[in-house]
Amino acid sequence: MKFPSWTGNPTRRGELVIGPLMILPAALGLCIFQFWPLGVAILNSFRAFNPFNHRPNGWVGFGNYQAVLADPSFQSSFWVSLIYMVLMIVIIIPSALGLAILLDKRMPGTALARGAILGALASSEAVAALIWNAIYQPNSGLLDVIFQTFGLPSQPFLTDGHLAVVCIVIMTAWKDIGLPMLIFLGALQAIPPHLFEAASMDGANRWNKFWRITLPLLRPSLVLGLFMTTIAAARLFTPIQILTAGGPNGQTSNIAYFSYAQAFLFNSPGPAAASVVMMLLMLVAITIIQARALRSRSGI
Amino acid sequence: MASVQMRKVIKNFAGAEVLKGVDFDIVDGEFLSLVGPSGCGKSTLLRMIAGLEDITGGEIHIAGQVVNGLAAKDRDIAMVFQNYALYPHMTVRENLSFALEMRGEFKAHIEKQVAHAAGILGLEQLLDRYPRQLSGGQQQRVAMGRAIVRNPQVFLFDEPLSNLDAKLRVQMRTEIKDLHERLKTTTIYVTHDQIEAMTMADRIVVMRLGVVEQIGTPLELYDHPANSFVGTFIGSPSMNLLRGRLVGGDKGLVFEHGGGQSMPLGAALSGVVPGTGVDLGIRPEHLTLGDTGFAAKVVVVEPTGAETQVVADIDGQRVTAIVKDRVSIVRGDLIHLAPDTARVHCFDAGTGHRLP
Amino acid sequence: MTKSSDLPGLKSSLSRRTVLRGIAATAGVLAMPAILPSRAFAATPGSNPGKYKIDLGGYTGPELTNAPITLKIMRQEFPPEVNAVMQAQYDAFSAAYPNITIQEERVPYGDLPTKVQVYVTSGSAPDIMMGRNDFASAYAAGQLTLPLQQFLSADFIEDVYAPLRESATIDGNLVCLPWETNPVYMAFNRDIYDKLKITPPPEVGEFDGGWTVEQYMQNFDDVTKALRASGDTQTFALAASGYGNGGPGSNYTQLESIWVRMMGDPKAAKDSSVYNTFMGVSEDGFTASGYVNTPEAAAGLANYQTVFKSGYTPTGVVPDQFRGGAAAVTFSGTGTVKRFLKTGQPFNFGMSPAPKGTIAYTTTVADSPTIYSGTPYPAETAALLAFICNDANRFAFHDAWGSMPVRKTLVDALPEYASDQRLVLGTNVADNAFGPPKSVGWFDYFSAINPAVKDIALGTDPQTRLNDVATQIDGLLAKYK
Repeated sequence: MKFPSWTGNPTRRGELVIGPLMILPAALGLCIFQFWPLGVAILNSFRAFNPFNHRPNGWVGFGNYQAVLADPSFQSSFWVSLIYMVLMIVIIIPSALGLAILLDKRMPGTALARGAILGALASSEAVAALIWNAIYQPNSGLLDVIFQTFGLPSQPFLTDGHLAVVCIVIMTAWKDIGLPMLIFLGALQAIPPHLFEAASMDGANRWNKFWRITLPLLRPSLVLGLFMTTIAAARLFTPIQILTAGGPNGQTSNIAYFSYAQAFLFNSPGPAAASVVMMLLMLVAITIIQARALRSRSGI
Repeated sequence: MASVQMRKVIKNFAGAEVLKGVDFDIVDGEFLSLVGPSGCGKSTLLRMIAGLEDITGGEIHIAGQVVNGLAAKDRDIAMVFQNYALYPHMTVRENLSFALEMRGEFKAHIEKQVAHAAGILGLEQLLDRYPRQLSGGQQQRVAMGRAIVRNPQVFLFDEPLSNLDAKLRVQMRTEIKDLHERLKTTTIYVTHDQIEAMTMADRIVVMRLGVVEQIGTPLELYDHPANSFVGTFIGSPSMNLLRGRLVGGDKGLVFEHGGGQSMPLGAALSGVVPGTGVDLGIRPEHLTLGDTGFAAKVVVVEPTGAETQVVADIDGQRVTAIVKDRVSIVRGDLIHLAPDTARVHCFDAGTGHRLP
Repeated sequence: MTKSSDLPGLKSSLSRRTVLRGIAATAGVLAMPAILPSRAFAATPGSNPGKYKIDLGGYTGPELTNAPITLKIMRQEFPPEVNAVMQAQYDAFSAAYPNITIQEERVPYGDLPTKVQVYVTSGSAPDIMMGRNDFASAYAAGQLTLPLQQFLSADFIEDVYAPLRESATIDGNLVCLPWETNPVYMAFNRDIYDKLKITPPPEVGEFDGGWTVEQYMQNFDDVTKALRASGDTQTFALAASGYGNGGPGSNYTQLESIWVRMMGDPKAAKDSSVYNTFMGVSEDGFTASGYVNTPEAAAGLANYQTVFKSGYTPTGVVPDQFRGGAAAVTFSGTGTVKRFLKTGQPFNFGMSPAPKGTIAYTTTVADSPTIYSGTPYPAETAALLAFICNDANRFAFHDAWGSMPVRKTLVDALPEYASDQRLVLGTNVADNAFGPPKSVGWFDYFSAINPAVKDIALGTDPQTRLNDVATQIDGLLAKYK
C-alpha cells in the first residue's frame, strides 16, 4: 500500500487534511480509553502505593510481580482463569453453533427462540447474574425446587467449588451465547445453498455436509467466535462477583477477580496492576497460539 | 449410462402447478436439451430428475428404475450448476475427489480418476489451486470435471454457460459437445438460449408454462415447428409472424395481410379452409429483397459483414429479413420483400397450432 | 453495611406526616433564636442556640465565613421521606448562611467505602463523606479525615455511647462522628414459639441477662425438630443474615464476629489465647495470626457452622425472612423494634440479648460522617456537620428513619427507650457492645475474613480455614507497617 504524498495525485490533496481529521476522534478515544490506561497499568505494576489514599509513593521494580507470583491465591486464580476459558469455549461455541443451525432451519418457534436469545444478550450482566443467583439458591432456588419435585437432594450449586465454576460458566453462556450465535447464523446464511445441493449430488449425507462443507466454511466465524469467547472468559468478572465473590475457598476467583480484590478490597493497587499486566500477557500468548493453530490454509 | 423417462410428471409449489404432466423419454447416451423461456419449468424439471425437488405427481425413471423416493445422493447422477457450486475451501483436486471420497473409494483409485478427468478437461496444471484463483472458464471446466470424475449414469447441466462471456460461451459449447461425443453419457441440458440447444442437442424439448410444446431434433423443430411459439422461439433472428387470413383463389390459397396486401401461397397449404384467420410464419432468411412481394418501408439496416439484417415495416408490422448480398438501402426506403412460399408456415391465429 | 433493610421506613409508603413533622422540627429550630434569650445557654450537649446564626449543636469553632462557598456532602441513599428530612436541614442551614451552598451526592450504601476510596485517591473529595467507625484506624493512619475534637465541645463528644466513641477515637483524635447506630441483639417471633409450645429466649433489659450460646443451640435444635415434625420445611429456627450481602459470611464487623469474639475475654491475661481471641488482632494492629485463628475462635466458628450444618438456618440468602414470619429468631436491633412499633407488627415479637460465650459480646457499628482532611473549609464543614447532628435534627431524623441515636441525652429524651424492655435492652447493648478489632487495615481484614466465614458456614474446617485467612490477613496488613 502506498501512502499519498504531497507530490502525489493532485486530485486527492484535500484528503490529506480531511482524512486525519476524520480519524482523530476515534484515535483520541483509543488513546484516552485504551492505551493510556494500559500505560498507567504497566507503570503502576512497578510502583509502590500508599494503601490509604492509593497514591504512588515509589518504585519497587518487579516487587509487585514477585509478590503476586508468590501469592497462592494468584496461582489458583491463574488456573481458574484457564479453566473458565476452556469451559466457556467448550460450552459456548458448540451450543452457539447448534442453536444457529436450529435457527437457520426456520422451524416454527425460531422467531421466539431468536428473540429470547437476543433478549438475554441485551440484558445487563449484573441483572442476569442476580437472576441466576436466585435460581441457584439452595432450598428456595428454582433449580433446587425442580430437584425437590423429582425427589432429588438439594445441590450445592454455588457452595461447592467445582460446581460453582460450572454454574458461573452456564450463567455466562446463557447470557452471552447470543453473540457468537448471531455470527454463526450470519455465516450459515451466507453459505450458498447450491453448495449443499452439489454435495447431495456428490453423494454426501447430512453428516458429510456438516463436516466437510458447513464447518470449513464457518471457519472464519468460528475463529472470531473463539477469540471473542476466549477474551470474554478472561475478563469474566460480574458473575463471579455476584454469584460467589470468588469463593468458596477462592475456587471461583480468576485473575480478573483477583485484580479487583487487590485493588478494591485489599488496598493494593501495585499487585493489582501487576496481575492485570500478567493477565494481558496470558491473553496475548493464548490468542497467538490460537491464531497459529487456526491459521487458514485456503485463506477463507 | 442410462435412459430416462418422464411419466406425467407434475410439480406443485404452494398450490401453483408449475409442471402440468410432462411426458418424454431420453434415450441412453442421448444429449437432450430442455429449452424454454424463464418460468417454463425446465430448471424445476431438471432439479426433480436430480432429486433436489420432490415429485408431486407422476414418475421419473432412470435406467428403468422409479426414482421418486430416491435421495439425490443415491441416484448416481451428476449435475453442473449455473454458478458451478465449486467448494470454495477445497482445491480443484479436492473438489474433484469429493464425490469419490463420499463413495468411499480407495485413495489410489481416486487419484487415478481425478488425473483422468483432469486430463480430459486440461486441468492438470490447476489441481492445487482454489476456485477463487481460477477464471470463469476454468471454474466451468472444474465443475464439469467434478461431474465426469464420477462416471455417472446421467449428466445434468443447469444453464452452465450463462455466467460466461459470449466468446467463452461459444468455446465451451464446443467443449461440452465434444465431451459428450467422447463419453456418450446420457445428458440433459437446460438452457434458455435456443442457439445452445440447437447447436448441442441431439433432441430438444421446448417447454412453456409447465407444458411440453414440442420434442424433436433441432432441424425438425426448425423446419416444422408445431406451433407459433416454437416457431418464434427456435431460430435467430426470430421467425416473422404476419397476422391475416387465408382466402381461396384461382391458383390456390391467398394470404390476405391485415394491412391490406395479399400474397398467393400456391398449393403449399392444401387442406386449410379458406377464410381462416392465420399467422403466417416466415423465417428472415426466407424473405427476398426484390421487385415483388410485400411492400415495406425500411426501419433499420444492420450489416453483420457476412449478411445484412433489414428490419422493415409492412403496414404497421415489423419484419426482419436477412439479405446475403450487400445492399445500399437506407431507412425510409420503400422495398419489396418476397417470401419463399414453399417454406412459409401457417399457424392458426386463435390456437397458434400449425396448419394444416 | 449495616442492616439498613431492617430499619423502619424502608417499606412504609412515603408518609407525608413524617415529612411535615421533620420540616416542622427544623422550622422550630430556626425560630428558636427569636424566642430564647439572646445569649444562649447550652441546654444539652447537642443544642446551643443563640451562639451562632443557627443552632450548631456541639460546634465550638470560629464564626463562619461570609464568602460564597460550596460544601459537598456524600452519603448513602435513604427513602424519599428521609431524604426530605435531610434536605430540610440543608435548606435551614443555607437560609441562615446564604453564602454557603450545599451540594449532596447520594450513593448506594454498599458502594460507600469504595466511593470514599476513589475520591480520596483522586485528591479531591467531598467535604463531608459518610464513613463508618470500624474504619477509624484507617482514617487516622492515612490522615484521610480531620480530627473533630478541635471543632466540637467535649460535652458533645462525651455524650456519644462509649463503645462507639472509643472506636471512633484513635490516639485521642475523633476521626469520625458516629451519628446513628443499630446495636445487634435478638428478635424472636413469639407466635412461632407459642405454636410449638417451646419457651422463647428471655426478655430482659440487661445486656448480659440472656441465654448462652449452648442454650440457643439447644433451642434452635428444639425449634427445628418441632417445625420439621409438623411438616413445615420453609420456616427456620434462625433467620438468614440480612446484614451486608446477606446469607453466610455476610458482615463480620456486625454479625459473624459475635460468634468468634464471645469466646474471648478482654479481662483475661494479656497474650493468653482467650484474650487474643477477643482482640482479634495484635495490639499494633498488624498481625492476625494467633488472634483470629485461636482454638477458641475456631470453636466459635464451629458453633456457627453447626447452625448451617444442622439446618437451623438456610445456607443461602433469604431476604426478609424474619419479617416474613419464616424464622423464629433473628439477629437484629432497635431498628426492628421501631419499625414494628411504627408500621404495626406482623406478629407478636420479643427482644432478647445475643448468645453469650465466655463473655456477653455483641457488636456496635455506627455510620459516622467524616470531614475530608483536604477540605478548604474545615470550620464551615464542621459547623454543618454539627448542625446536622444537633438535637433537633437528630430527633427529626430518628422520627423519619428510626435507627438509634448515638448520643445518650437523645436516647434519654425518647421515652420509649426508658419504658419498653425491647428498646431498653437496646440502649444497654449500645452501652456495652464492642467495636471491631482496631487495625489500620480493617477494610482488608474485613474483606478477607468474610469469605472465610462463608466457607466455614458451608462446611470447610474452621481451624484450617482460619489459619489460612490469618496468614492472608498478615500479608495484607504488612503494607501498612
